[in-house]
Amino acid sequence: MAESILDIADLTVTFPGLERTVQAVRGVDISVDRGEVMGLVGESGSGKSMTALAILGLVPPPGRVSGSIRLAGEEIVGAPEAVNERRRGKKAAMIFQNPGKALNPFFTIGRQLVDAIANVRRIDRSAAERAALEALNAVRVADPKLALQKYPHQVSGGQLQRAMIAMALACEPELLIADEPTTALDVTIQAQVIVLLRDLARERGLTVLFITHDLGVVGSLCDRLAVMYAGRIVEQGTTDQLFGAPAHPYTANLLKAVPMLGRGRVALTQIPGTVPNMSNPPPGCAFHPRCPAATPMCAESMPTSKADSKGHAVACHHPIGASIARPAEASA
Amino acid sequence: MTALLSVDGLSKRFRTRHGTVKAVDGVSFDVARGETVALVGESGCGKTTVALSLLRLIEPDGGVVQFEGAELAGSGGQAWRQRLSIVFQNPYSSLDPRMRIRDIVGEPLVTAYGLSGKALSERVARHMSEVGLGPEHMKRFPHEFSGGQRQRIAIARAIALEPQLLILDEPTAALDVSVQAQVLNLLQDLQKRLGLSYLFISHNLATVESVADKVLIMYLGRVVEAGPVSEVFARPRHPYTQALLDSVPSIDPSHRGRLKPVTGELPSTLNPPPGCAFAPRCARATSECRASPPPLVAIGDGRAHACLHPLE
Repeated sequence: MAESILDIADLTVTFPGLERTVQAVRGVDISVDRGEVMGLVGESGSGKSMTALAILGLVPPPGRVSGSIRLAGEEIVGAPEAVNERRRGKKAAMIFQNPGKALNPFFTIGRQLVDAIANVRRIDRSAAERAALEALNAVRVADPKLALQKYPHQVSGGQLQRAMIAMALACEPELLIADEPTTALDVTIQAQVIVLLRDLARERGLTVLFITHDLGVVGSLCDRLAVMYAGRIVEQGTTDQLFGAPAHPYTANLLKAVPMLGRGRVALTQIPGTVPNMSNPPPGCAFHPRCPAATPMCAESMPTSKADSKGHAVACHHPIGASIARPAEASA
Repeated sequence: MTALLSVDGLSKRFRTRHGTVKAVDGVSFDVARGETVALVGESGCGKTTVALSLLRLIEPDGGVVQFEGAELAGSGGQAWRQRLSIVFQNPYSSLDPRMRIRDIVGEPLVTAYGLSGKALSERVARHMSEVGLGPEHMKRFPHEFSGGQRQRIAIARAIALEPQLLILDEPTAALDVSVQAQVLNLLQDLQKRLGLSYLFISHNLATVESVADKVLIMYLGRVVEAGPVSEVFARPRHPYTQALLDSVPSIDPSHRGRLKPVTGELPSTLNPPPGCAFAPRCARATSECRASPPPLVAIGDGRAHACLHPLE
């Protein structure tokens, strides 16, 4: 049995407000093993980024977090901020969608890398600089020495994202969280970054939680996937299981709704309606108003996640295919 | 038969403090009636400058743009608006948040025909129903709608003057994945019903394949390959087209190892390479490629490429 780095159980994140409370995350369970690349897929508002922030202990006020997040054996939820602060970078590091916004425009890339590395690893600046150069080499930045001297505006988006990955790697985290790291990049550069992350995971045994809305990206990168909808994980399994035999109607229809190269000129399957507003999510299964297979039961009771013997889990009363758990008779 | 839109040698340079940028450098193509032509490329390749030049929202430096074989008089104005219109990428910024939907969709009709009162309302209702929105939405403001609905509103406004050609600038890139198919299917449906032609601007090859008849691949202001989508994607001739296709992540797990990204990055538009702009990233490049940019040559079957050492 592989060692698990991240164990999330029944995570909820809510933002109380005067008029309405936003339920960003509504009971998420995920576990990620060491050396695994796990994809967390969802649309805007599905709660995927808030899940990531919770792992870092960075849910902004007035957000309330409950449940359990065990990262490399240590509990994050409820830990004092000073403790979580020391864990950031070391236990889990994060790279963001827009590397231009993640770096300070007033300081050189080198200064920012060295500061972060020295601070997280508690080493002196010359050792941190060596670590930065080594990491920039590992992420295939053409001229690492020169890159250290540049300001963020002087390099391209692709190079900046490599620098961010280098900063994260040099801190030697147990888990790398990548939140849509290729969305802002051009197609050819996106492919370079995906291949880089895949190679790093293979060669260094890096554990990655890769957050995206792009099914194609996870298909070419991830070992396992969790699909989020309206703050819950609706389906979880290996990439082959989910793409080969999706069991949740949301996953299945999403796969048919997205244009895929090689399919030719075809009409796309439409998913009616829109993503729900999380201050007032639909009762029962949140996908039922858009689901072709929905029955009255779906509006009444929220389906729980059931896994088959191969670890393919789905939270649906009427999953596609018989190999998955049978519909719950009366769980209401 | 003359093409609906014919563009010949379109060029646009921007003078900046740091030098001159050739944003669009001699781009030529035709769009037939009822046809979808896709303009594909990465950031800085000039695809949006082509769109804005066609609309006369910026004044091109050179080139001839003809509708049905005739040049339109003047630059911009109503003659243009009644021929072609545009749907922008982001319906969160392209709709005025202080205007009601009736006024957003009706504004072109007021400007062009001076419509008002009942005539205006009826016409607005007609265009809204064409995009699947009901008359009850007329009095609402943009913030009351989801991204997909806003894009429908933007489309209703774009078709209000009954143009023959719509420019679609990444019309689904800002939308949620589950909503993109609704908008793409609506556009296909409108095209059939209204006989529209589309110039579809995108960097997403999979989307292009699912909607377009013809494709133009642009790199740093020039067209490097053109032809029917099915042909170009199945048998690319220009190495850049191949590089783009190899960069598309696949949903098919058996393709996982196949992502073969081209090395290097886009060159600066301020200081482009002297020859073929793709030569610095191209495995097939020779000294000839670096000497002068290869011209776009037709190779039959409606295909053309600008490469001295094309793929077989």
